[in-house]
Amino acid sequence: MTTLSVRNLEFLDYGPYSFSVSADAGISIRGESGSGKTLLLRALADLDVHGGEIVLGKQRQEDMPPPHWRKNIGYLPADAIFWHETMAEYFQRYQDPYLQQVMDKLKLEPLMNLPLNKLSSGEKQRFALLRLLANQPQALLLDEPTSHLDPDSVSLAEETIMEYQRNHDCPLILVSHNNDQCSRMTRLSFTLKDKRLQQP
Amino acid sequence: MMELITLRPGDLLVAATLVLILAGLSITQRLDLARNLLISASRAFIQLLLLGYVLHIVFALRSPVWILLIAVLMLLVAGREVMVRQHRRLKGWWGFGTGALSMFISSFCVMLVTLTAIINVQPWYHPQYLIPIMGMLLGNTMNGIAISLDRLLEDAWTQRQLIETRLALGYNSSDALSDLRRKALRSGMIPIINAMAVAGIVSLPGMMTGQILSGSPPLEAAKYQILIFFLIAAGTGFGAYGAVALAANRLFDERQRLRLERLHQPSS
Repeated sequence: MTTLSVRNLEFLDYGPYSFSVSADAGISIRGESGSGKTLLLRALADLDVHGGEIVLGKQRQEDMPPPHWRKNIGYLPADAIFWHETMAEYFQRYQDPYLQQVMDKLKLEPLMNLPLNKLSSGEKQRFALLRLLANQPQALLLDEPTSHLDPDSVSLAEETIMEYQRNHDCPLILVSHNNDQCSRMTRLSFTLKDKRLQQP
Repeated sequence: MMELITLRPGDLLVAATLVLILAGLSITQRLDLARNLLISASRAFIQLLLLGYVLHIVFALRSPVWILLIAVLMLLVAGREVMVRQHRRLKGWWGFGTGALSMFISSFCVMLVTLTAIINVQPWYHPQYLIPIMGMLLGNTMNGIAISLDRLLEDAWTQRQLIETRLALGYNSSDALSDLRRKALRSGMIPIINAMAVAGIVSLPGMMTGQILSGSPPLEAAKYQILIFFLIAAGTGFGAYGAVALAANRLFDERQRLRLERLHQPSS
């Protein structure tokens, strides 16, 4: 079972934060916009300069080549950015029955070959989730993964995420403004306020 | 063969009057160009006359030290020009160094090959050949490098989310930047590629014009112009390639994080 443990994480004038996330109980982080939630995820993904020790399973961040680390840590940015003309191009190299299953579940198959500008922001957000899971990450750091989705798609996306988490035994950190979603998907909830990580 | 008709100061005055009339028009039409136009025109007047005098002296001296000194001075000014033409240049010495170093390597190498292996000048530093060829090379590679660097750094700035999304998905830094790098190189190379395509049909290139005016046989002038075009293309291409590689490298740190704070914020 993989655990994500964080010791004395510091970035800019934030921190130090220490916590650990086990595979069977995800955590959610709430807080106002601009409180630093995204910065925290970015530091875990090694996209920003930071101090402290971050260990995923048995592997320390600093011992791993950055592309490997980022692939494993599974960070999903809040904005879904795409650069190919169609979604199919992102998934050509994967021959994974599991991926097909997720694709069907998120109802993305019929949209695969549409031009990028014909997709809604909700559809793009579901594709971003699919693209992340196709990488088979060992953890999930999700930054408002369902913010553009309608209620039906929200449940589908939540199910997909939690199913992946169960099947892959992976720690989950969820950043969300939706309190109900936080309690549905995670057991532990923190609030980031005044640069402090507080348990309510 | 026709002899060169020397220009008298009065002849330049007539041409200068045309520029003054244009400046007057700009003032009445509020184009806001008169100031820049007059300053640039005066700069060209002073700088070129000064260069004429300096070259006159240097040609007489024939000392490699002086020639080298002038070459270095030209390079430094070109390096500064590349730097200030970038909207968001790298901070610190990198802003000057990326452009100047790649320009130095590409134009000096191309020039050395030219002087020793192609034209076969004796001695290789003969100023009548070295200074004009170097000037043409630097002037054009400077443009190409400045355009490429400007494009790369501007694109990296505006497409930050794209680059970081790729990094987050496990791309290494050079893959995350690959299409931006290609675009930057392409925009730097397009002016010289276009210039070669229309040379002789639409435009009569400056150097060939000059040689014909001064009485060289047109065929000789054409051969020299072809040579210069090839040198400029090579110098621009290799220089832009080097500059883009250096800058792209500087955009990331040892953990392959995109470090946009290494770029200057434009003041406006």
